[in-house]
Amino acid sequence: MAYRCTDPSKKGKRLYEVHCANCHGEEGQGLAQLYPPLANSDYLEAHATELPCIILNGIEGEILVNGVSYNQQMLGHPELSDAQIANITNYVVRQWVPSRPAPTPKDLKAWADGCN
Amino acid sequence: MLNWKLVIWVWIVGTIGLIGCQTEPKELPYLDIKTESRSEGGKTVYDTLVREMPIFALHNQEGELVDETIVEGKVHVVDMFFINCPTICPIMKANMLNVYAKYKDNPNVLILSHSIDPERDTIAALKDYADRLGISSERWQLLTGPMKDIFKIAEAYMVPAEQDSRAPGGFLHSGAFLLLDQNRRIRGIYDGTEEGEVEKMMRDMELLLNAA
Ligand code: HEC
Repeated sequence: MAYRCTDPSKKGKRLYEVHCANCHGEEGQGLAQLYPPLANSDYLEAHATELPCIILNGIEGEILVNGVSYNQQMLGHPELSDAQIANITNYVVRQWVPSRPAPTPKDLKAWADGCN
Repeated sequence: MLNWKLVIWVWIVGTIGLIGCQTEPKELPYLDIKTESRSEGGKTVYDTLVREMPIFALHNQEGELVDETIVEGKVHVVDMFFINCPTICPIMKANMLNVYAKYKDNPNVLILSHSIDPERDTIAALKDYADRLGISSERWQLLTGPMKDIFKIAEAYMVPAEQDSRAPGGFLHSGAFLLLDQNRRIRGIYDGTEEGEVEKMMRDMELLLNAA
C-alpha cells in the first residue's frame, strides 16, 4: 500500500484527535449520555452534509442519537480553517458513516458553502 | 577494544533498574508533608508538618448539604471539573468512569468531583450531568458551593483552579486526580487525563483498601 504524506484522511485523523477525540473518543464511541457517538451514529448518517457546519458553529439543544437523548452544548470551532474542517469531515465520514460514499472535494466544498 | 568499565556500569545500572521494576512498593508514600522554618533562639529550625485537608460544607447533586465527614474511613479520589469544560474534563470523566465502574459496589470508596463553576453548575445541572454519566451519589459526589470556598478547597488539595476569561470555557484547572486514604491523607497524585496513570491509581487504591 502506498503511503502518502498528503493523504487528507490522515491529516483529518490527526485533527480529529486534537479537536474532537477528547469528547467523542478516539474510536468515535462517545461518552455515556454526555457526548454522543460518531461511530455508526444514525444522526450523523442523516446529517452528514451538515458536518462542516456542526464543526464550525457547534450544535445545541436536545438531539436523539441511536435512540438516546443528548442535550448539552457543543461549542463551534471557528479557529479551524476551511481546509482543516474539510479534512476532519472527510475523515469522520469515511471512518464512521460506512453507508455513504467517501465525500469528494467537490462534495466537501458544497457542504461547507451551505453554512454561514 | 571493549570498554569494560562501561560494560560493567551498564550491567550494574541495568540490574538495579530491573530490581526496581520488580518490587512493587508495599506502602504508598505520604504526599502531604510540608516543612516550615521558624527561628528559635537565633537559630533556624525546621518542622515537618502534615498539611491539613479542608473542612467543607457543600451541596451534592441530590441537593444534600455534605461535609468532610462523608469521607471518614474511606479511600477517596478528588478532582476538579466543570460541566462546560471543552478541553480536558471529558477525558478525565471518561477515566473516572472506569474507576467508578470498578468500585461502584464498594462502600469503602468515594469519589468527589468539585465543580469550579458554581454559576452554571447548579444543583439541577449537576443532577442532570450525573444522570447522563449514569452515576450514583452513593459512590460519586458532584459538589458545588460558594466560589471562594471552592477555590480555597482546591488550594488546600493542591489542585490549583482559577477563573480566567481567556481560558477555554472560562476556567483553568489542573487535571489531577488526588488519592486520599481512610485518614484523609494524600497518598497519590495522578494525571487524570492519562489512562495509564489512572490504572496505576486503581492499583494503589487496592493497596490502601487491603491495608485497612
Ligand atoms: C467539548 C466537547 C466536544 C467537542 C470537543 C466536540 N464535540 Fe461534537 N458534540 C458534543 C456534544 C455535547 C454534542 C451533542 C450536542 C447536543 O446535545 O445538541 C455533540 C454533537 C456532535 C455531532 C452530532 C451528534 C452525533 O453524534 O452524530 C457531531 C456530528 C459532532 N458532535 C461532531 C464533532 C466533531 C467532528 C468534532 C471535532 C471538530 C466535535 N464534535 C468536537 C461535544 C463535543
